[in-house]
Amino acid sequence: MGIIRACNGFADNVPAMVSTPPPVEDPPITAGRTAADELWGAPMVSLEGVSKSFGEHLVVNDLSFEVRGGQIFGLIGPSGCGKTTLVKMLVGLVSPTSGRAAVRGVDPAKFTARERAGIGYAPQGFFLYPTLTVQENAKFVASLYGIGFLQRKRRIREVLTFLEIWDARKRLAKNISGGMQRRLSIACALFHKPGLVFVDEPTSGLDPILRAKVWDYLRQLRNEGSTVFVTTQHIDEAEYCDQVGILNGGSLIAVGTPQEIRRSALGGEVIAVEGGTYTREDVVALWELPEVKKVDWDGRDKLRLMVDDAATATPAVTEVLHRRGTQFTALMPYLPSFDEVFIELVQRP
Amino acid sequence: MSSSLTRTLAFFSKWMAEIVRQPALMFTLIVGPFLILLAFGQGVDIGGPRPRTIVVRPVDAQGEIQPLPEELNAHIEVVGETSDLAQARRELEKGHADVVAVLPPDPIAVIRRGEHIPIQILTNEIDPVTKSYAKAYLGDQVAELNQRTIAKAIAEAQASVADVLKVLNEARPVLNSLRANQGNLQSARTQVSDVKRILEPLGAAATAADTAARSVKFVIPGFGNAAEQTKRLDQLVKDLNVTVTKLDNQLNGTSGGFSLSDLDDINSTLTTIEQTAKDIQTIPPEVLSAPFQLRLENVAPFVPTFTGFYAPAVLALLLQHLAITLGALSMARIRLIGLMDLLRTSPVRPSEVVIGNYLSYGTLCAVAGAVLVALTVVLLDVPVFGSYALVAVALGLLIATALGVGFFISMISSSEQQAAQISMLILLGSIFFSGFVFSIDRIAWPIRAVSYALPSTYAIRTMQDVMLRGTLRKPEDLYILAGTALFFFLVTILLFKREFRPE
Repeated sequence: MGIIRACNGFADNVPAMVSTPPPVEDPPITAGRTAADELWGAPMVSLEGVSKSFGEHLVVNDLSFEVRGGQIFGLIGPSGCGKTTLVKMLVGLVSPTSGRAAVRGVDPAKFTARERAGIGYAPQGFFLYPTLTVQENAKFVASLYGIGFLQRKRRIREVLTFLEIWDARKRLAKNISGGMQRRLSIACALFHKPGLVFVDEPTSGLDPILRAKVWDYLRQLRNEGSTVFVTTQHIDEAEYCDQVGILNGGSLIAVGTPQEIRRSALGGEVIAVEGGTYTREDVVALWELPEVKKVDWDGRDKLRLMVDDAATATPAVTEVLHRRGTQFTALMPYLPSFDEVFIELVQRP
Repeated sequence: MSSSLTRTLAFFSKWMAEIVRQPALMFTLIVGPFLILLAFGQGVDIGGPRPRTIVVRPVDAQGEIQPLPEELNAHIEVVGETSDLAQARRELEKGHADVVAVLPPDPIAVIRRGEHIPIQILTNEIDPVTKSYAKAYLGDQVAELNQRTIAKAIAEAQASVADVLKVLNEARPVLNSLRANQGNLQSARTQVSDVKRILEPLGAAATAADTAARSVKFVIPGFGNAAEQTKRLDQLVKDLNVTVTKLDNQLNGTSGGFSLSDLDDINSTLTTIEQTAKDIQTIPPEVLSAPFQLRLENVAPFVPTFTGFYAPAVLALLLQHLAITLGALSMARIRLIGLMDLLRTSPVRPSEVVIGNYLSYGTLCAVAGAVLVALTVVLLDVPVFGSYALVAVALGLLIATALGVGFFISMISSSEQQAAQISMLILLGSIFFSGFVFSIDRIAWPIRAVSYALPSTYAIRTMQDVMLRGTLRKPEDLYILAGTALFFFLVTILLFKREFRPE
């Protein structure tokens, strides 16, 4: 099964579809590494053949990848694919059954108090005291990180303001909305200014507006120099990440920038031919072009061409269509959603 | 160092915030136990039951059994008297009476047959404690009845002694006449025969008196006064009979005479018998039947009221339960809301978590303890004869130990419900085995080991001694509490460290 069938759900308004979720400005590429990588000389997270089983049940299977500093690394996959287990291994809650994990060069199972003070962890779900106010919960967690009274007061205000829950500081945690609870959980991972933050499913159960807001906060954290390791089951949120690892059934099926993954999944780039009605002969003529690898046509007016490089293929496609007298309004690169990319990756043999 | 202090105090600050927000919780934790204490002290009647009794007296009853009705009235309530046993049983089964006492139809005839008089008591009690109490209580009443019977027997024995004296008075003129007519053999024979006839009932009377007195001796080993005298009286009468028979034999024998010395012996014996009989009569039958009288003297410096005696124990039990429950639920709650993951990924150390929780809940229990002691002293008038510092030390050690036990329970429990259930089991065990209801001496080994495993056992003993006796008789109790507190503190830290390890 290829991109042709995978693209059957394309919307009429291609640009609108592409804008959901909004594109993220890529970090500049420097000799194969992002500029943010330079924030840290060594990888923040590295995994070598890491597996985890609970009894007979293999949850995480032979994972190997690295996460470098100053990035948002998104671990993406459906529910139950092993994301939370992997995060728990990386914060020292769970030991791998085999393989080696290192966070900032240290085995998480052997974290000292000092090393734990350098990372932040916002677990999935709400874990704080429901009968305490937002501010009291914040104070409790900040104290757990040994932050002194004066600094704590200032820092709590900063973080709660940053996450836009300062106004709710006097409300009991059980009485605030789910979105606020998620932000409070994230806040609790930030009071001690960690260089590396693990955020497990921060957008789970939130509406799209709140989800976008959470990603804004995470991006801002990244921009301030932190490395963010985030998990999500919303595949389309891969767009928000600098690096993405796609997990399915406990195995890593892709890792790289969103663009690299998309290209890898589709086998190239996609050009959408807009504004015309096409015939079988048009499709055959395009298919015969050496630059075109696949053609997706709905039999009427939807035509997608997969090519190695859109920039070089576009002139050849334009020439064929003009030669055949086929009417169209535009040729433009088409960015399929990550849902489509994920399906493509999962369905690969 | 300051970071560690900040982390440790995080739990205390969190707890303060929770407490301030929940004044009802404080009320429940402090005033609630006091109200229980107050209700227990004022509401429970330790005087024992006053069983409602139906007396079944047969229609053709011979003789009377009157078990001190004016005294028994304080202990039983006679709600009916009937001759119909079946009806009495029905009333008992319906719960209209607690006891049915069936009196025998002819008690005197039973005694004469040499058998016990059966007094049948019927109860319809499923409470073993009440049943035991009723058995002991009714046993006391039967003993009282027996004592009255003995007194009656002694009175009869003394009446027999009076008969002896009467006989002696009759015998003396005959003997004097015998002495005067010693030349007249026929007359002497007749007079000796009269003496024998007159003295004949003397043997039975003396034997009856001896038998009655012997029963007293049997009941009261070592009490020999009356018994020895009646025995002597019996022996004297037998000797007298031997001498009179000898005299009779001499008069009817071949010599046909008698010796004056034998008459002198008889007179002397009669005088001794008379003296002995009078001695026996001087002891009142009530004394003979119940020679011992209880004169209880308590050397304890102070005898508290019922409330006063139980208040320190209830206080210790309540504080132990409070501390165990809080300890058990606190950690279980940490697990329940998922806070354990946060703690494990933060720089907080297991020891800081444990100490922080000890501080928080220890403070709460200490405040509750102080308020309870104050209320107990001020409102219930329970004294503290010993040092308040010792009371504080005992309660502090109890709280520390109980919190440790609570934390331990929470570490081995998989849910809040399980932790709460185990806490409740410990409370139940403490009520039964810590010396609160039953003295520890009455608990058999190896079950008594449970008593010594409970912190409340040592705390109750210490609190009662310090508050009510003004002295610490067993200082080792405090050492045991301190050792147990330290043990559970270390075990909790170890278990928490284990909890912090990656899965």
